[in-house]
Amino acid sequence: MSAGERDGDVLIVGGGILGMSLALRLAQHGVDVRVIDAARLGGSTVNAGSLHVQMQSRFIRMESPARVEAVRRHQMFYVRAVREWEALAAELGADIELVVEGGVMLAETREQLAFLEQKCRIEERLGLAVRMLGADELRRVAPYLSPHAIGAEFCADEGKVNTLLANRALERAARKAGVRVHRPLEVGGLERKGQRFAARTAQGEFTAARLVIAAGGGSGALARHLGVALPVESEPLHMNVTEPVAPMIRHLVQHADRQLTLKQFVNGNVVIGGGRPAFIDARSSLPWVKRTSIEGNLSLALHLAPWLAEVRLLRTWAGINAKTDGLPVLGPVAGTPGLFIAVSGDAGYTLGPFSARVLAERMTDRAASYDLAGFGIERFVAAS
Amino acid sequence: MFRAPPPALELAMPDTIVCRCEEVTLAEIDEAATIAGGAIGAVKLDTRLGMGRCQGRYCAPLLAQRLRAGGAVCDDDPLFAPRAPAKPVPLAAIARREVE
Repeated sequence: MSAGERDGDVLIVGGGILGMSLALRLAQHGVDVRVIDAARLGGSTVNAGSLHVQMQSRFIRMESPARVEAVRRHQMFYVRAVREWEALAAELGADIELVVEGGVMLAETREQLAFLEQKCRIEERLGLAVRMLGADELRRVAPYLSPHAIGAEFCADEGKVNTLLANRALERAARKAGVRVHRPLEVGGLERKGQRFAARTAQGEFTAARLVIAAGGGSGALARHLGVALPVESEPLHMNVTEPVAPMIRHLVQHADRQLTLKQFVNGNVVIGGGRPAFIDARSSLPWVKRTSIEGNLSLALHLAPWLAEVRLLRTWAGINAKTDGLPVLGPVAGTPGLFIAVSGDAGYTLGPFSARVLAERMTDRAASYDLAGFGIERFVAAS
Repeated sequence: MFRAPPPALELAMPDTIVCRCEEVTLAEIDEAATIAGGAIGAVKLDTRLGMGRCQGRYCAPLLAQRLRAGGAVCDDDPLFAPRAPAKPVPLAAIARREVE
């Protein structure tokens, strides 16, 4: 590669769902774009593909009321994000097994039901397509659940997507649109060189007029090279997948108070998760799973869907959540012209393509599909 | 008795299924290899080869063979990143009676 081939207009570090979607949109707007990713395929490739819209109970229980309130102000962003997934699936022209048949967050006790009723009222007021399901209706809508589930909040816009197919189709479309992808290639350093940015790699120095950091949980370390403080953490979460079985679970299933998500993909695999901990192995630096998470997760899954008892577990893995304060970090960095941050945060896979659309609009001075004002990195400066 | 012949790809046509669990053809593997390079784990993620019930026991050696024939240094050992459980096991065998 000659030096000239490494110099362009926009360089995106990170080719996951957000970085690659952004590359596609920018290329479609006629921008010269390169993507560098440290992995052999773009991104961490470990997301399980839930499309979240209603607020996850995990978030409400673990975060401060102020943070919950801040995310509430942007819940329509999640709805727009699912609409974007539908548009993207049509645009890619490949079957990415996108299913939007709604999600149920179930309750087992009266307390949990009361928690969901209150949550449902708030979310309905915010404009979400949500409603409560009583025991009988839940049985009719979700016959795969055991009688332990006595009610649920139903959200019509939730769903799931096959992440492997989606990533694959997206990258092919981006390349076709003219995006140049360099991977596996790690960025060892970033610096400002006059009006441009330089990224140091094993294949030489890449330079660009504009730089986008879109590396999920790795974004903080990259931003630090440029003296920018970006609080984002990698949170390894436990996931399980079973062998394929006949289609049973249409919805994205969550629990009001316990760590469980259940969904079934078009090919029949049932994915069981719920945010239980995994960890990064110190010796290999690879994500790894905990026995307690496997046992706890599967025990709860069988309690609520006993017909899974004889279904075989195929694999477990650690997904990586790029944890922010709950909101995406999207937009320019004040004081460093040409530098942009693109981290979609909690439910980052859901938000990836729409985040990319809005940031691409911003970077090409187009009318905005969504006001990015609440997503700026300056909120962390103000808070510290 | 007779030793089974080593699995070979010489007779495979582009539409020959190499991964039976996930129905991945030779042509799909070759296409993925151009995108994912010679990394066996990346081809797995791109095609789902090895993600079915056999977890790569039958198809992973064939994939490695194909990638090596294409000039890739395919030294991933073990072939795929190891993932619990070692072989498919019913959920009931792992789950506990009490639920936390």
